[in-house]
Amino acid sequence: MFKKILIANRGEIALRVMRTCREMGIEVVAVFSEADRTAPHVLFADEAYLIGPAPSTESYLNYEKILEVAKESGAEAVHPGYGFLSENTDFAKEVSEAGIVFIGPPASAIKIMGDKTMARQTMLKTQVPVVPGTEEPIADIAVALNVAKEIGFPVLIKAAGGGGGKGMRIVHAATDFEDAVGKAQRESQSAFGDGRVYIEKYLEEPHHIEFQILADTHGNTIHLNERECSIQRRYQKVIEESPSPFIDDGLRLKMGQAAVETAESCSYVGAGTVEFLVDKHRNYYFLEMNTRLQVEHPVTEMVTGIDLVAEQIRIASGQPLSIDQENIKTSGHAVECRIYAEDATHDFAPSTGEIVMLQIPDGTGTRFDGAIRQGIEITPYYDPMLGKLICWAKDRESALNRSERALREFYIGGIETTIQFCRAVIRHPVFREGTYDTHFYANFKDELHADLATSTDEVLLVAAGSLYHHQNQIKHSSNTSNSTKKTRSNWVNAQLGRNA
Amino acid sequence: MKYEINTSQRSLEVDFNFESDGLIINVDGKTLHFQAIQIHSGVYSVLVNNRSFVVGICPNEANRVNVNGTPINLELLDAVHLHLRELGWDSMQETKVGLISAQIPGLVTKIFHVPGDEVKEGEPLLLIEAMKMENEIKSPVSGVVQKISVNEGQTVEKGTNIIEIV
Repeated sequence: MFKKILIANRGEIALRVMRTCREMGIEVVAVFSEADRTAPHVLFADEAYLIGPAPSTESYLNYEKILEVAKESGAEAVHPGYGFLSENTDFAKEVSEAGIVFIGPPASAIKIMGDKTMARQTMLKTQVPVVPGTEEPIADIAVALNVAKEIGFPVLIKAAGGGGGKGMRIVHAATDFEDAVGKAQRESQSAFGDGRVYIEKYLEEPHHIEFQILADTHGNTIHLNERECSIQRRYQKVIEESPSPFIDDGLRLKMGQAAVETAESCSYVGAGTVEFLVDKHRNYYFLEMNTRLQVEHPVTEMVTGIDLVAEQIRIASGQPLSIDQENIKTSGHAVECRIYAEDATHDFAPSTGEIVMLQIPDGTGTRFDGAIRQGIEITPYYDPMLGKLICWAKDRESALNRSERALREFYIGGIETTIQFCRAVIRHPVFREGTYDTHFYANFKDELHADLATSTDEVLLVAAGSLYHHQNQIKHSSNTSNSTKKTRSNWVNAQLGRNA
Repeated sequence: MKYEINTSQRSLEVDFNFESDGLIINVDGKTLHFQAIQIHSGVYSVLVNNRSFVVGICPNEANRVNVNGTPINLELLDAVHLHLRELGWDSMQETKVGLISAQIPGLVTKIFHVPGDEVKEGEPLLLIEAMKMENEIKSPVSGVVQKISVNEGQTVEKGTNIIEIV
């Protein structure tokens, strides 16, 4: 087993990976940008190295520098987390060539599945169904428009090298086509340095359902059931749950086998996710495979009891899987709410600034994977996701009640967040019934925002009274002498999670 | 002190009076005992007739208050403001609707217009990239582009004036 691992990431995922490493007795090396000197992942780590200025292109994406640090620190393996370099084949290759283990699939698998066009071509050779669409990236706009017309509007434009909703556009009419392609290309170029995009058919009342897979270097590939990820906005997931309220055991079995076949088709090794679209007739289509740990992996961990990061590390060190398909038993229901620094009442505009107060929910079945603390500054440099709240309970209804309770308990002061938006989704009757699809947000947008904007007289009076109190208190305190309290804490040597 | 509370949806008339043990709010013939204890700068624990709330006052936006996590936009008008409004003055209407400032900090990636262009309400004016997402800034009014204060490739802070439409 490895003695030291470098985590080539920041934020909640860096912390998530470090936690498991520490539980396994492995030392952790953090890398950080100039904006992140006191970020939670730096404080947690055993060693931390500055890798460049705040913009990620000069720091977290600077793989030469990260590789240098890996060598200097004596790390035996590198965990890329998700995003940044996790799906960069050059990085995976160079890490391996330097004699360091890349905790992830072989570069060849990343290359095939990371490029949506190549992935499609690979999948067309298997029994796994794929969504109708172009097999080549768009080069000529007129040709592309003809293809789109053949498939039939609405169509989806997607970045060939991307993910997470970036570089994606839905087009309802031929007249909007050229403009949408331009936007998708620019966004994709800026986010991934790859401006190629392709087109596919948009399905009826589709569900986004993905299967977690694990594959070792000894030829064993298993799946850990599904995650339902249909609650999205701007093609970005907001709430995920497992099991899916939409599929039954028969479909689960078929899709699980398709997920394993997908992984085997590219000789996959490590943890990966096979994403499917399932239409209202319960036809499923391969969408893409994510060759890394997913943001929403904790819901699978909560229902299976398997630590996916620990499995990744074991697989990377050459050990066989610790469990076989027959022994995968799931229990209860898990729901994840992604908490973004965004203002849901202003079209999800990013919100930056200092977190002036923080109360993270806890209690039975409540897990928060985040990397925030009071006093920290949320900058515009990185992803707006602050963390994920994962609630587990014995059944779906209890898990939703628990999520609602925990969201109510959650307080982040100083910036706008999507906490309340998640609450509005969870108490929406269609979500409660479990009959939602990926159009949920578009269909119920107005209801959700009305819910957010509605306040009782009592709440309005509390708001007004507080404002009045606050303004008068400010007037008061400016007349009186300095009211600043002296700190009387004895905890001058706070540990903040570090081992001493 | 008489006050009027306004939101985009409704209006309430209240009477606020500070007493020794807190604030007394009279509304619709009811009396509420309001007590606020500051637990952190701008964050209060509030008890209203023994019902408990956590309230945050946004330091930058005077009329935005967060109650149990829910943001609420409201306007609190005192007797002087109410009187001015009766006289035809409306202090809240001073800001120009056509003066558009950046609602998010980020990088200006594309500007669709030049001064002199006619734009319709809802038409995209420019793109600002923040947190790796491209955000379209739409015109809140129909009119003519008077002034553009930023260039493509420029980084803007939240609140920077970017474009003016008359």
